[in-house]
Amino acid sequence: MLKVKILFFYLSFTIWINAQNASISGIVKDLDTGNGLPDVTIQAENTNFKTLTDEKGQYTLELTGGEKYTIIFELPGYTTVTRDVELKPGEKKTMSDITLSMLSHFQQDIPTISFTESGSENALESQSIHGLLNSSKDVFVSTAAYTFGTARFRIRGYDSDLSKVVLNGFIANEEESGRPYWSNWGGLNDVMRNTVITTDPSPQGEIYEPLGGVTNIITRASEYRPGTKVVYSNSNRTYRNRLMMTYSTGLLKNNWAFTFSYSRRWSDEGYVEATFYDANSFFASIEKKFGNKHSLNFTFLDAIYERGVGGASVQEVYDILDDNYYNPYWGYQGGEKRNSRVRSSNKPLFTLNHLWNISENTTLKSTVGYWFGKSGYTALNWQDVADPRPDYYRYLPSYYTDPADKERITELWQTDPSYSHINWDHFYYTNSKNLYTVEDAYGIEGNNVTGNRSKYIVEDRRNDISQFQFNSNFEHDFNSGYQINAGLNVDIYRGESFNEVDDLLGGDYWFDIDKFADRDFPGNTDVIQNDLNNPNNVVYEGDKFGHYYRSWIRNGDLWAIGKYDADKFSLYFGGNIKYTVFWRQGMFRKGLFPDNSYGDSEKQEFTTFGIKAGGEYRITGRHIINTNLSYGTRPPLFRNSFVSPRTRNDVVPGLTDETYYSADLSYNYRSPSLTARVTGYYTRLNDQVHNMNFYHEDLNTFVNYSMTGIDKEYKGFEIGASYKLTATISANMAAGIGRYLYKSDPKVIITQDNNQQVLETGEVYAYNFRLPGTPLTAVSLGLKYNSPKYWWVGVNGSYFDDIYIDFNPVPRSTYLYWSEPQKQDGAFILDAFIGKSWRIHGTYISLSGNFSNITNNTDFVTGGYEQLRFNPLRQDLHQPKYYYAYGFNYFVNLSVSF
Amino acid sequence: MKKTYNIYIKLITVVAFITVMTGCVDKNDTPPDLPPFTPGTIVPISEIHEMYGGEMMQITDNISIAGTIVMDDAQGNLYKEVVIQDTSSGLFILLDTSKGLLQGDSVVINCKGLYLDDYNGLLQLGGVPYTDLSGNKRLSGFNADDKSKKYAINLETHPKVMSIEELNAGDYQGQLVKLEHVEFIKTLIGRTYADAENLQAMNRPLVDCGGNTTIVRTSGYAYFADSLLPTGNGSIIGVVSVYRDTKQLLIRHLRDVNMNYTRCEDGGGVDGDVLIFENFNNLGRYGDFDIPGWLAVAETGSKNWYGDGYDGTTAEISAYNSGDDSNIAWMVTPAIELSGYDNYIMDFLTGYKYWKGDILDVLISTDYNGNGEPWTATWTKLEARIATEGDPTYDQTGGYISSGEIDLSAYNGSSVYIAFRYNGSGNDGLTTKYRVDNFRVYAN
Repeated sequence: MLKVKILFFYLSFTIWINAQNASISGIVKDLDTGNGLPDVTIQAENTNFKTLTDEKGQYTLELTGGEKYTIIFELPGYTTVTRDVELKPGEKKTMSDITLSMLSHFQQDIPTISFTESGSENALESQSIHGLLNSSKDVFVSTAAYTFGTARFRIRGYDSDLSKVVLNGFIANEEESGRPYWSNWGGLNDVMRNTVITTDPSPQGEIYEPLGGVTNIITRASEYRPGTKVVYSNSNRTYRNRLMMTYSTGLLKNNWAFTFSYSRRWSDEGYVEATFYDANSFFASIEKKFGNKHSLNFTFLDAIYERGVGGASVQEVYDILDDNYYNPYWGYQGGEKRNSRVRSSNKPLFTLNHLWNISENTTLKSTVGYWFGKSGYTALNWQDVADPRPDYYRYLPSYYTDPADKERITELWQTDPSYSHINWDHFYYTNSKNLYTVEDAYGIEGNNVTGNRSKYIVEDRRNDISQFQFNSNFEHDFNSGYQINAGLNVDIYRGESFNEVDDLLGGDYWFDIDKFADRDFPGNTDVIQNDLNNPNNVVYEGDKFGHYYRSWIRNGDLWAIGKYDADKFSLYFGGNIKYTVFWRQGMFRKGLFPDNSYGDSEKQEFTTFGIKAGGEYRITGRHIINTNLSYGTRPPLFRNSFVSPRTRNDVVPGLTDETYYSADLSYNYRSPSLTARVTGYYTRLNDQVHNMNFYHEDLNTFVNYSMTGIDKEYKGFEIGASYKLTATISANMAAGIGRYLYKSDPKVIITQDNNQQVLETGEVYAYNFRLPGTPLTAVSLGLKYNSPKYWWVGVNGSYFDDIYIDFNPVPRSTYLYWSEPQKQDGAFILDAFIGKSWRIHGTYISLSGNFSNITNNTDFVTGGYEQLRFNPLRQDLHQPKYYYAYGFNYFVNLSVSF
Repeated sequence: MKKTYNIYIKLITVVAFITVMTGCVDKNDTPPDLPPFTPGTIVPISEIHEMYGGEMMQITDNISIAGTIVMDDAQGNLYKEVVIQDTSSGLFILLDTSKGLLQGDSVVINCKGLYLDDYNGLLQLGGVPYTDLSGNKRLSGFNADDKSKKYAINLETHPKVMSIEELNAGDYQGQLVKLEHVEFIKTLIGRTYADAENLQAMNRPLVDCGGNTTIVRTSGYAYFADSLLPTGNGSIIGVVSVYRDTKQLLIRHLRDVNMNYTRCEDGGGVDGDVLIFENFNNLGRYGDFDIPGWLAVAETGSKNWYGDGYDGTTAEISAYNSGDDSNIAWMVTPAIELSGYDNYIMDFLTGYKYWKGDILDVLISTDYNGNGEPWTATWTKLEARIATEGDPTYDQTGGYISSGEIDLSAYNGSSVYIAFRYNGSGNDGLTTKYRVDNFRVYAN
């Protein structure tokens, strides 16, 4: 009836039914409710003897008599139970009741890895695997998601655009960057427990799986346990408080099912100063079954948030203030802390799924989805004033050469918050009295606007979306071990990028001209216009200004995978073909580029493909070897394809699709006391493109820095093991050891931002540089005690090493200033967790606490970047910026279900 | 029991829900109360100059200066620096940003806490001192928005018109001046204001027709640094700066330079285009009168015009020793087209020796046909100041008298000839010796 759920790690098994002469039977119950649990997989280890519980939790498993079996009872999201049985020939044995408890009552309410920001201004927080969704049963993956998250560990070193998140059939990676942004559905933890995570391209059936695997979040209303759950959490991480409420009807007698969830996360300040948090998340899922054949499910979700974020700074500042968590984004306004960098988002997602069980062996799943809304982050903008950012290099002691000056500046940093932080009051003071006349405003001759022109404003850098998706996949089981799975994804996307005036900070208006063009071409009234179609634009709060363009992306992906499953082995083989077209539509006619900034760019078309194969070989049921091989091409990302998308339609010269190939091989061991996996992998990505814009000190101008022909190699080992020392104590071990390297000297074209003139071409001598941003070595050891009296305690120690920070290609394109990228010191982090649950009159109460970095190690650099500005004569001026792992932090959780 | 318990739980849930839904997180973005701008006592800028004793100092009194920004750094000739001027004086001001104040802003700057220092003689008002890369103590720029308030904007700036001599003699630091009838020295023809390629500032000598010199200094970052220097003569507006003992003029933008007229050596140094200019230098001493297009002819008698003088010669005539009853000699210009302008002005120099009577006239004709016999045409006498008894006589150093501006505008549209008619007599002793030099007609 219901489809077999496939656990992430093991490839699908077809149900293998032979005439058996013995059997076991019984009932599997939910510990919380005492009710029977449907859909529990019951399998005799090392065999294909397998069945599912029915709706009442009852089962009968046919076996061969005269043998000993280890029977495994498994249900995603629940604890796994094993029982040993020995059957005489012909024996029909009735087992004692098996109870499974929801994993969520244990570590499942583990929360949040701190959101992080990379140096690139385009980057929003993103992580390939997220602690919020930690329901993987694989020791390595769950450790990577939770424990290694502290160190920004990326599985296999992959960027997050190499994996996909599928939300109830909708691919929720953002189109322009290719990355999934978890904040888009943050706070809805309770309704996202039904999640399957993979970290390799093995087939799962929803989409054509990319190299980094798929996180498949299933939000069908009927799949939720009926009841109400309220969770309150308290933390000192990104937020202080979280309240989540979820109500679910389960499948009602009239074949409807409803699930609603609401959560609010809030705090005036998180771990980092002035990082307020204000988030409301909403979720609704409604399902209706039509007989056994059809089911329709409608899902709505929206995470609406506004939060102040923290930013990285230079070590010099951290040292002066003796605070590695100094946040350069905030300052006092009227004596209160105000953050200049506020991220916000409100992007509702609607999906409608149709599940059609065409026959017992054939299903067709289709999803239409529409995702739209706005998101952005605020930042300061300024004209005709000195850089207002407190840690701008000219405001640091190191800018000066004289010891007395250094001392004076250091003292200012330590004693004057208007110096060490953003000086909001000064902004208001300035804006309130800066009389100025804009002549011929909006291009209307004689239309002069006089008033206080803001010199400082807060702008909202928006990236709004409107995306339609249709996904469909078809699955047919031939009952002979063969299975076919095929699908189609169609994606139509329109992004809108622009700046909006968020706060004039006491001034009357903002005069929208290009301040850099004004500097380079003073007195030229055309060139300085951001929009020649509306010159001398005077803007007010809520107005668009600066830049405004649309990104149009459309793609279609057709894929198919065939599988064969035999007694000892299984195989799969598949491929995809994908068509992508994207273009930029300029909505402003830029004064510097009147001829190629407005209107549509040339359409960039790419046809890419992929093939993959793999399978597993079961030496015995305890020893399993599996492998994945894949090869293919990927279109370049929109974000990297335009030389300067904010200003013009120029495409990076030599833009081409990427090529990838990858192989992995795993050995799995599984016995009642020990589960272990060792995987070796090798991946190669060739011909990547990367594009940056920054001030080039040597060339004395703003440049577009386009790198092409970036080749990367990822190789390494993953080890995960879980060992039961006693019935109550278990030990976990996980290790990820990789060597991720640049394998080319990328070509560089440096274009002057002002006039498209090619200033320099060259190479970045990056061959064999290590990839930045993730520890290449991460090891964790943990112990856990699980009391039969419903409490548990555990401790985890992790060691991270070989973390490299993002390097600046500028000095690496000449041997004169060439150096190896900076490696950070290794670090040891100790975490602990404790919890207890009670059941009182059918109400389930669980209290748990997670305590991270309990030794309060505040010297652990988890990443950073070299500033792109590079002054060869004074290399100390533009120091690298670093991120530190939080010191001691906690997350305490109280949940009540009834 | 169980029911009560569940109701209790549900109640808590509802209360928590409402509390949370209505709770709010403050972004703290309400505008702060702003302190009013407090100017203190307003003093004339000249007092700031007097206050400075030659050493870097901090201003501790609560005083302000009020004036108009006469030069800003929007065009790049200054960098993070503006110049303020009031009726008493002007002052250079160091700021922490470009375009911190703009030309035409009427501002009050509160000087309390700011510093004064001179940079090689140029007084600057700035912020906290620091030591630069070469080890020199310098003033930093201060934040204009903290220390000043604009009361009006877009005001006109009015330069003081003066000569190079006055400029070099007086102390006009920080003041906007206008020099008229000046030109860049001849060797600079084809050069630019500064070295834009290497971003080097350049000093470009500026002279008047009298040979007085000053410097126009332009930064290599000025947007007009790679513009060609004007090759002509005319007016220039700039702010007076000094470097040690040298005065420098800093121009604000090319609109301040209006130097398209004829250079001094070509008869320039006036507000107009020179239509004809003759300095008679190529006649040589005691040389015969031979200038293409000109005519020198004796109608009666034997003496005619010839060349004489020292460094540059003049046209000279004297009837002395001629023995003639009448000695009338004509010196006639080529035809001069008086068209295309509104105003036509003529001037020239005359000198005399051995005065025996006023016997030189300046005449104009519109019907002379250039036949070599000017006395056959109709001539009208022009009122001109010609050297006469009582004037100093000429000598080696000069002593020539200017004719004054003779307005020929009445002849607009005509082709005219100008004649110098000498009406002497050897017998009557009407033998005054005249010299004529630097004849020119210009138009504008």
